[in-house]
Amino acid sequence: MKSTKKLLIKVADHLTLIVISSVVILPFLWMITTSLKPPKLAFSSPYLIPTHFYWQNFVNAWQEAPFARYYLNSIIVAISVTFGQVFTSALAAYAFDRFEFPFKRSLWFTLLASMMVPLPLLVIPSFQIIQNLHWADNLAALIIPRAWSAFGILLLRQFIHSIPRDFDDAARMDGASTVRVIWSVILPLARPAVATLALFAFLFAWNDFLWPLIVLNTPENFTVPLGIANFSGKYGTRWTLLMAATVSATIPAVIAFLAMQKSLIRGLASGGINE
Amino acid sequence: MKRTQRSLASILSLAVLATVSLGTGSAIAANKVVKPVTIQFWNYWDGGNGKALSALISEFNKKNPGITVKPVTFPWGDLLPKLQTAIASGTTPALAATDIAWMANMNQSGKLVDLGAALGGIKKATGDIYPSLLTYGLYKGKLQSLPASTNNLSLFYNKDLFRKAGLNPNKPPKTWAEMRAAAIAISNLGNGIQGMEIYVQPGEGLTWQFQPYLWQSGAGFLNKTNTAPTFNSAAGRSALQFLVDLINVDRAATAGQWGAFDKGQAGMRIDGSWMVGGYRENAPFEFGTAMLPIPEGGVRATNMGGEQIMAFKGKAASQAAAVKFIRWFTSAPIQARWDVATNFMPISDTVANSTVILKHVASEPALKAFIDQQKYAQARPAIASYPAVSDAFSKALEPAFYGRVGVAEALANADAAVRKALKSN
Amino acid sequence: MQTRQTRTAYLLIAPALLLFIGFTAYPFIWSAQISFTSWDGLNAVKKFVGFQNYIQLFQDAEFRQSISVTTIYTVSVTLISTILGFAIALMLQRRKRSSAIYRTIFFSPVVTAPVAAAVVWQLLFDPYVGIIDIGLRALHLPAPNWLSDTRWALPAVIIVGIWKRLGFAVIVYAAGMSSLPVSCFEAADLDGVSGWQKIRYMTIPLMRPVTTLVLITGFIDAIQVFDHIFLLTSGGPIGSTNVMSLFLYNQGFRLFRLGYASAIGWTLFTVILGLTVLQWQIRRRGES
Repeated sequence: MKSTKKLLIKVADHLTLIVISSVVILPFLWMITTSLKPPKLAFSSPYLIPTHFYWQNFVNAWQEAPFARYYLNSIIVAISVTFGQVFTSALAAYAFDRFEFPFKRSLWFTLLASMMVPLPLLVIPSFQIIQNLHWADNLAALIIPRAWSAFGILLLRQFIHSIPRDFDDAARMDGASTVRVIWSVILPLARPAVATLALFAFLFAWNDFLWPLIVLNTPENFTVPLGIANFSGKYGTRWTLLMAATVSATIPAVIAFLAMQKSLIRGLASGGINE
Repeated sequence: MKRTQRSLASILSLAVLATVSLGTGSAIAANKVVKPVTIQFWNYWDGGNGKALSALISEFNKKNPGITVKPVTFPWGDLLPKLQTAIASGTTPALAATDIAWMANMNQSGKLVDLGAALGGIKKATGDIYPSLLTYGLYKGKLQSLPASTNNLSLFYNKDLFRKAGLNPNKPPKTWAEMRAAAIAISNLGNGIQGMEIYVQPGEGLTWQFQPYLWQSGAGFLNKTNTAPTFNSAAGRSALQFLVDLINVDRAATAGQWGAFDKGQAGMRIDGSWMVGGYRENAPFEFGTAMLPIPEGGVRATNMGGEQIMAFKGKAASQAAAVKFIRWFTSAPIQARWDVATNFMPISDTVANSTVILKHVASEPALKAFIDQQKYAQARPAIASYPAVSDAFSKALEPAFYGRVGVAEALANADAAVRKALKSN
Repeated sequence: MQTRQTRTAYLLIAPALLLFIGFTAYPFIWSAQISFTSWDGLNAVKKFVGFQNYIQLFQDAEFRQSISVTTIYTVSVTLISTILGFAIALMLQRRKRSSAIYRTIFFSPVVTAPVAAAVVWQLLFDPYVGIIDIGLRALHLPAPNWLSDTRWALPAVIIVGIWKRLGFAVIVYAAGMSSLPVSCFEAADLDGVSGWQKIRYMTIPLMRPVTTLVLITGFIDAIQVFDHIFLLTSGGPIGSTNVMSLFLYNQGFRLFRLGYASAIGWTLFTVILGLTVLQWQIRRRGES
């Protein structure tokens, strides 16, 4: 009786999961199938299972857009932004939680309010600053302005608040400096929050389009989204090439996720203090 | 814990290293002795057009040791914000080619090189380039840009669908009435096939596709001084009514996304000559082209598109290099080859009558309609408020295509909105 | 002691604060200045027009429509992806063995460049060659002209928004659930507590911090949505998907009205900030 019920739940679970994941995966099947079609057949069935294998699309797409280079740029930017956000947010969050100082409340309020600034609004003035710093067409312009996060500070402060001060005191007793306390005591304890922030920051930098577009001029410095955008233009979209480019841009990221998901989940899970 | 720390540290050093090395890589090369210059050329010619451009540029670079022109392609819509930020912060490239519709605003930037002065007088710089094309480059008596290409809108039709609908595939419609009859016949094939694809998404696309209908029916867009709209007339209403009826009465067209014709799902569409190459290569159907059909008692008219090439003020050496490139690129022999590669239209009679072009047109019959029609191409108003005007116009018309408001009301709304937009800048 | 603490605190805040001032606050205040001009972003002269942009904004029906579209989009995408993400994570929790492959599938859209995603969805939504309508017709269901119908365009971009967002919620929930105290659930099993009751009275309350997190990040993402709508519908038809950042972008970068765009941005900022403060006040009064 009980095992029948369990079996039923199991079947229901899998059915639901299969239905939802087929919907989710549909665009990818379409993408891959189209990327392998000769251009003339881009809009004729079948749509979901490749029957043609016209690899020339990939050859052409790679000829026009050096994806290996774009990947390298995207990874450098995304990792640096992630690291920067975690670093600056951790320090600030710790200060906001553990210390009293003048203007604390108004500073806190200002930082939080900045989350509501519409980003396209900042593009032109920000670029003028980048220009004054001589960072135009340089990956630094994608990294440094993004190396802080109001959301990150909020998230880490909440988490740090739940860490007893005894931990800080014990470490300080051993003669550790404040930065050292944050780095080697607080951050490891706040691992789930750090991992969440890292994931959020990474994805934000990885998918960003408008800002890199404004900042970068030389194709060698382009990130992945910029590389793809160039395949659909005013004078017609080359669907099969665009799909080949999209597949080239997406598959490695998916594989990377497949490889890293175990440690990602472990990082996100709040194992630190609960256990 | 230790491990996290170590990996974080290694990530940091990697990031720093990468930033530093890339930073120096992209800095402008400062050479001291011979001073060869490298200049960027921003444009939105992608794909085949981009390849053709690169080929021409490398030829130029070879012929001009000491000058390296580097083409940089951005998507069409994204080139504009790029230029806005570059101009606002003084980081303009040496060269750019932009949509003629943006020129009025570009002209006011104060950053464009006076090509008339740089090329020994306007007359010498322009030669026999069609005067209608020059309106975009002239600003306060100065020549600030030259036509890099031109094109116009003509009728594309799907011969396969014409055959299926029992129409003669070699007799495209010549009048609005014939076009309507053909559209109805094709849409009767069913399966969601549209007789005629109409562009109804708001923005310059809608305006630029609709203007020929206005002009053909005898209505205008703006008055001669570009200070007031002239489309809200009986003729204007008949033009809009024609398209709205195709959608809502004849059900021979659908108000919606653009792209059905490409997929073989629409019998006809108005589009530019640049589509010819792509269709010849990739269209899953046989296509033909024709001059735009005109209404009973109407006049021939089409819209003129294209790009202008310009040089930005900057260091003397790069400015001189940019001017040199413009002179070369707009010269008749190069333009002729450029047009052959892109299916853009000739910018002057010298180009149009060159053997290269004549041979190309003979080999690609679909271009004939465009060539014949170029002389009927009208220029859109070259005023700074045009983008706002066009946007207001298109947004007022959009609901009419969906049958939400009547034709008279839509045009009256458009009239009011355009008047307001004219005052905005 | 106090001064030392102040100094340390400020040193710790300094990196974030400096970046905030340099790359957010300063440009933002600069944009306020632009909002009082009729600047097109190109003209050498920035003409001062006073409050004209703001006055015009309050009469602009497009702006009002944009606010309601943004609200519907943000609320739907955030709520649906959160609920769905929770449900999926719950099922994955029970199906440990196959969860890795499912998780990867759900996460793939998250790492897909929005530009690419938009292109694919545009074709999926196509009324003739699009697989969605082909499927609907095969099932004898009505097949709407998704992106071209004022009633269906917003649902369509919401579907894409959820598709892009779902994976993040699934992963964060899955991680949260993996750290739930197993012993409590085993005890509940022994007491004969039903599966639904366990979810209702144990999982949901225990997951509340994670839910807050998923909601906040979802909100931040959704309210700034731009890329896929820009490419799918550019805000149409008849403004039915014209979200705020798109409206702002089009005014500033397509219509050469940077002054007006800046006024939009500032008004928007003030409205959201006002609402947030109001909500804080109400909550605080409720607590005390």
